[in-house]
Amino acid sequence: MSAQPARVIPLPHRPSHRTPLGAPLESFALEGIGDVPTEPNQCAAAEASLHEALEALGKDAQAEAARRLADTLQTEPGNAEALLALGAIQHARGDSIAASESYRRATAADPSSWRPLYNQALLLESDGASAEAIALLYHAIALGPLEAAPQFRLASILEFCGQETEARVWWKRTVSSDPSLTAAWLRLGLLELRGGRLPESAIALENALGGDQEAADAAYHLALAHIGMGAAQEAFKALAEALHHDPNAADAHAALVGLALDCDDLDRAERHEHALRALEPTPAVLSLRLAQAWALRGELRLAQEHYKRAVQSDSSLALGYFALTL
Amino acid sequence: MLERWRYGDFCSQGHKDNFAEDLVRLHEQIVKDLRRIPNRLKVQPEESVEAVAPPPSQELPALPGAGFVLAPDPAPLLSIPETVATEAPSAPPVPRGKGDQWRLFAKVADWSELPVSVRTASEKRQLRFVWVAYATQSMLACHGSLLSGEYPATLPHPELRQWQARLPMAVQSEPSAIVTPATPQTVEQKYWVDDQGWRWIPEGAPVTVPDFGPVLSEYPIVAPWANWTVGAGFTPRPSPGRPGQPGQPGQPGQPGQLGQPGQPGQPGQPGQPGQPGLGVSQGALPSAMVPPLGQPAPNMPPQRMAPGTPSSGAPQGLTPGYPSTILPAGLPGQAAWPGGPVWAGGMVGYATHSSSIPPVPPWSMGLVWQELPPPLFNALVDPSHCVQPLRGLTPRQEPPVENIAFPEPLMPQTPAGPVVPSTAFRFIDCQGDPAASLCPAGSQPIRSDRQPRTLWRRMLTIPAHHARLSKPGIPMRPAPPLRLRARPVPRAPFAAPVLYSGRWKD
Repeated sequence: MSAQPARVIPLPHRPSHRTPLGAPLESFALEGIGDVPTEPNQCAAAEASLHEALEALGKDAQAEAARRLADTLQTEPGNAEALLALGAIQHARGDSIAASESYRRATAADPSSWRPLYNQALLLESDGASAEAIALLYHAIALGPLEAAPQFRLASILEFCGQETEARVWWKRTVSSDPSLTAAWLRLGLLELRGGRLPESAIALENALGGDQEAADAAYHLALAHIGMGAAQEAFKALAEALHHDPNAADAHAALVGLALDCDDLDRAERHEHALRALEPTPAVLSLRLAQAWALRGELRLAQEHYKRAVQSDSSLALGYFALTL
Repeated sequence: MLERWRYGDFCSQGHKDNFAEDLVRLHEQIVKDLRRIPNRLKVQPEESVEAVAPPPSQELPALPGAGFVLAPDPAPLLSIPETVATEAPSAPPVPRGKGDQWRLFAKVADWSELPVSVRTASEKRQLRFVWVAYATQSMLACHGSLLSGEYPATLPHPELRQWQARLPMAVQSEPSAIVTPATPQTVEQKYWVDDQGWRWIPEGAPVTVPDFGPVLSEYPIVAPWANWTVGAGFTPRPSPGRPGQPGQPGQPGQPGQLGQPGQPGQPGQPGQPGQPGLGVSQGALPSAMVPPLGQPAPNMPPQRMAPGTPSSGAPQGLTPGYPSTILPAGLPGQAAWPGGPVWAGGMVGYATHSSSIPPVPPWSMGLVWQELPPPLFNALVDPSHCVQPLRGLTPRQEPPVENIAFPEPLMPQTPAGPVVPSTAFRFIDCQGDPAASLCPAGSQPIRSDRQPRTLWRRMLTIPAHHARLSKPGIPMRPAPPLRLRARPVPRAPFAAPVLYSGRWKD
């Protein structure tokens, strides 16, 4: 018995692959995909081809994977996993229209899966359609409420769009779903820091220190939170952690200079000011404070040097001095 | 720097303005002095009439309305009543007081307009000038410039010259046709001081002005010191060319034959270069050489300075090898060395600045141009400022390092406390820059209305209680707060599409 060719149902032509905001998920379903009859041998061959395709994808052999996926889809046009993998390959190639089509067919094949919607949202986000991406991510989160990936992406897009309140909620839900996600902890901590919620920020940033990629940022902002709370020793530790991850962080050196000045540790301040000056010009405020501190200690030569740097950086200091004196 | 200003080489507009300001100030002073002359002379004639008695041998002029004069009689017999003088018709009274020439002087002093170019002046104004031609064509000067073969010589106003001719002149001696040998003279000859006040000029000597044409043609206007030769050795030798010696060139000219020395040229002789009295004389240069001021003039009585003194032709006490241009003029025990042409014989062994001029043999005749600042320049500046005479050739002694005084520290040892005002502060505000008013605006002529009388630079001293500063220190006011900036929020990391199997990850 010869295999009956699959009945090709023309998809409604759409000028854009973008999903209209608020469109029901049923609109992505394709009619008749599940009606394609398949033979058992064919199903086994298709499964084998899909398996080989996924293995090829694991080896980053996208061409081979695409060829295997085409074989699979030729046998089983409604294979959702094959459509999802094919869309991912097309997505990686930059073929957004084909990838979007593959994701739509995958969604139609398996409407209960959040993955095609998530991939589609990534595709829309990369194309700048943030609103549509947010809508799809809401649907994806509804399908997989315990998955952290769509929540992370939703919180990120919401924060990027300026909706910090919603973003803060979704960052918290993200770290609740996956507490090991340090990137989410870092962004939550930064959001709390900008909002002035220093204790919450410190807690979130401490949880973000375990990451490798953004540990320097987390430590620096944790130091800022501690400085804001008046915890100088914790700030010293955090800044040392930041410099451990990034020794050339000029802002960390500047923070250390200011912190050391506040703690009246002029030697430490002088040491970090020297390191800061090697990276970038010392801010005039720090030079002036160093000059005043050394002058009060009677170290006139150091005071003169720092005051000279301060005036060179900001001549208004000298003008303001004369204006104040006169 | 001042030496460069003299030659118009200014390094900045500010220096140029300062120099112009000094000139303006000097001009004002001269004008003020000239205006003061009539006031002085207004009083002097009356005092002199009363105080000075006429010589007995001179007859008194017949005063109009004078009475009879009694004969001296020791024992008069009769007392003759004094008759009343009758009014007799006489000439109109001569106005007394200051002469009209002072009016003219005051009028000349009121000339405040800027001098106009001679070539563009009117014909009437050009009559005031005498064109002196010392070359038939233009000559190539230094730096590729051309020197004109003729130049205008300024003459006084014709009316002023008339009055000047009426001024009492010195008694001139009769010209002698035979040059008498220099013997100790019994009659002291009159001497004049030249215009610059540098040297004695015998009364009868013709007016001689050095031929500065070829000198200037070879003399660099810009940076003249580049050609100076400094450090010639001192060889005290007698000067055989010293004027006053019998039979030597350099004798004073025929006295009284060519007019008053130092007097401007006489009118009515334009276009005759080289004539005495016009300010230029090319032929009779050596005959007018006399020692400088402060040195004995030729034919002077021997009690002033014995002629034949070996060093009489040169200033006494001149430091060997020391450039005489910057020789301090007022050093005690040293005579000022004059500028202008000097006798070559007297320059033996002294440093000269005329390296651009072919060297003159020590005993030859001629002049050596001695470059010196003019008296006006000397009046404005002190050339001896910051100049120390060379004392031998000892190397300069550098002060030891430990003796160098470091500046006072900015902050005292105990800077705590408020700023204590202790120092007055002076301000300088410049108003009415004369340089701006001198600049012609478009086609407008040069405006000099406010230039002579505007005191454009004022030194204002703020009262001490308003402007008192402490010595410079680091301000102890609270520094502005240090603002630590938060780093930008990192973008979300790249998210790879997910698969069912989850085996494909980026």
